[in-house]
Amino acid sequence: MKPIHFRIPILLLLLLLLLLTTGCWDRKELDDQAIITAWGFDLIEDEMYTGTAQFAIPSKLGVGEGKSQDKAFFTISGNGKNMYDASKNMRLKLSRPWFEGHSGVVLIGERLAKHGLANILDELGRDPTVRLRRDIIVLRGGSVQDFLELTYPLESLSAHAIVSMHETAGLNANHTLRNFYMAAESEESSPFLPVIEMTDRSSEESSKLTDPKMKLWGFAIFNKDSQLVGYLPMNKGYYQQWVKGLLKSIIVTVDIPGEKGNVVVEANHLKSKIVASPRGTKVHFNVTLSGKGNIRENNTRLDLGVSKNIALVQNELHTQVGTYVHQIIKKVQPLGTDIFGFGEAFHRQHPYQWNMLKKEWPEKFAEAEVSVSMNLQIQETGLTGAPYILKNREIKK
Amino acid sequence: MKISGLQLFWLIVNIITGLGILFTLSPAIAEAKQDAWISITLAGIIGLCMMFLAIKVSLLYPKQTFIQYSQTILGRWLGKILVFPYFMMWYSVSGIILRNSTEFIYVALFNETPLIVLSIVMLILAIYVVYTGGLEGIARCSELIGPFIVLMLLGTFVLSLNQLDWQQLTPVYADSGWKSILKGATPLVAFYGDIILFVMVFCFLTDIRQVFIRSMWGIAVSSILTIVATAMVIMTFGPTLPSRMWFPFLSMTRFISVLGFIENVDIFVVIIWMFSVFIKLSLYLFVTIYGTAQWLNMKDWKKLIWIVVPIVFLYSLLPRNIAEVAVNFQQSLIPRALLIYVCVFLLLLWIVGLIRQKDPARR
Repeated sequence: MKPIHFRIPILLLLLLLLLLTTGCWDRKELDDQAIITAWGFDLIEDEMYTGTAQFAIPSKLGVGEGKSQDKAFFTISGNGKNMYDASKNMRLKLSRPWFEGHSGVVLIGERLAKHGLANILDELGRDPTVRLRRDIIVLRGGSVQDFLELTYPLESLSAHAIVSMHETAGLNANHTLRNFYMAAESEESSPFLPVIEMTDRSSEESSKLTDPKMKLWGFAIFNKDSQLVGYLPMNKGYYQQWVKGLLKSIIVTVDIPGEKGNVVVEANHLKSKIVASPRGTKVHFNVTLSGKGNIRENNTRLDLGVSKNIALVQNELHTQVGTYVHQIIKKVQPLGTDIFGFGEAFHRQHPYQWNMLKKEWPEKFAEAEVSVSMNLQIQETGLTGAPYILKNREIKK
Repeated sequence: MKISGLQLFWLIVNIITGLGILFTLSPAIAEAKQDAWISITLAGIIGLCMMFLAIKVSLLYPKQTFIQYSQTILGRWLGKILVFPYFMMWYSVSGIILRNSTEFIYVALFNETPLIVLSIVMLILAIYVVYTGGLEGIARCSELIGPFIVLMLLGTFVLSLNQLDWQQLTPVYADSGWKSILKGATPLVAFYGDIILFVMVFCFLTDIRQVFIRSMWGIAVSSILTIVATAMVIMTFGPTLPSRMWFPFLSMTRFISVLGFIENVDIFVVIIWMFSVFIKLSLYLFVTIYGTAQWLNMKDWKKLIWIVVPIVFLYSLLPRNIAEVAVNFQQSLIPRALLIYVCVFLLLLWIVGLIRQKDPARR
């Protein structure tokens, strides 16, 4: 046995440890918290921010027959000189402390987006309870309060619908804070965010329709100061995503010359390759878009059982999509915002020249020459070659 | 007090991996950008060299601790005076570890608990293991906890696989150049002062022949883990973002999402991390206390706990905020000068010791 004086410090230690066993005096029970499912921020006037949070009402969230028709959430808004001031004012309306670890979406009003996101991005990056996986989305056509009040028929929380809508549309659903920060702080790229549109303001007659009143509208382009400088509607946004290498599938309508109708092609396995080559003071980029196509609709007299005709559709698709993508790039270039990944391609392919170029990259991007080439293989035509409904003599072999 | 070769291996892995990954990635990436993993590799090689030196010196007199053999080699007074900077390093680093770790726990878990409370809880644990178990207790704990730390790291790596973009690592070398890569290696090398700590530990080995292979493996394993962690952080957040985060690796674990189902796993990381911190802190305390006792020729080293611990605790309260903890300490001159002195002195000891052993007249 050890002598007695050995035990005294241990006894003291044990007594000290007793101090720590006073129970969970600062516990945070789930029942005592308000769980935020979505955030919305906007600017109402200069230097006056408004914040809205959507809170889940757990008792109404369950699945099954007991589910009531009421909204499973409620919203609270507050105004303030900055984000935290606004949220401080929101807390004045709340009976419980809030928990935002489960918040999936941050909505940004159009006015705030144009003013610049620097403030809100700093607040979100600093807060240890905010995860960088949170999605950030720009809202058009309504106030963030109104939007967060909307219900979505299939999801009990409308905030959850927005992310799923991207996946269903074949778009990359990954518009996280991380991606925005990475693009904003990189030397090469400019950030872009998805835009969701509120299609209808809540009014008496429209409230009877079951239409969800929200829709993916396209993408918002931001400059390096995190200010919204331009929009790409969805029909153009799809192609921007393709060039950036983020798109999963796309539906293309091809007009056939000499025919009245058109052919609809659904393309999958989309890939994009950008080759950068310096040419004198300018930079040249060659974008190659490739993928595999299926014919979904044939509104022409072409017999698509004939390989020659498929080649015709494919060629038309190549020229039409190629020109369209080129137009989109030309339209974005004057903004000086590289949302296509050109800078990254140049940086990786010519790292030493990039060092000289990077300071004036927005200007170089604006005046870069771009060519688009296509390599989309149409492999399937569905279950028929020629359309069923046409008479034999009408079919063009 | 005796420890086995395997326990030595786990001690090294525990002590070098945990806080190294947590605190050195951010400054390394700030300097070397996407080439930070090269910096970390370089730092690993330097770490191996330092360990080699530490082993070689200790093997001159395998039955003595550093404090003892420095006096054997250089004579009583010279030996005592010249090791003084080691104590400066051990006392200050113990304080910094305590502060670093509580700061981390504070940010990651307990935002409302006062820092002092967290420090005291951590210290009580460390005092307990040092007092009752000594080095043997610490080594046994590390043998138990070490595998969990490695498993936790590997688990984090696997779960993060789906969000990696390997292109973030390109272009290699062109952006940084060798100067930045070298600079990026310094924060981790500064952490490798921990390696020198083991000159006090080797003489407790049951089988001194194992010392070389076990220690080198320890450094190699923890270097490889750190290199992979660096590369993965860059592949997740790109070359600029991590340099502005305090704890990029923690942010990466917070970013994990597998099938929308496995999320928010950072809590496991934090808990296992606390174990690692506990091992490191207690080993530092033990070495500081034991070394001080030998320096003062005291027989009962345990009495010194009650003097050393308050000093360490007070030192840990000195930095005013997290910026001072994470940035200023690593970039200030004194710790680096100390580290250089410590290594140069070891080299000197080795050379002088070799000469003395070769010279039969002076043996």
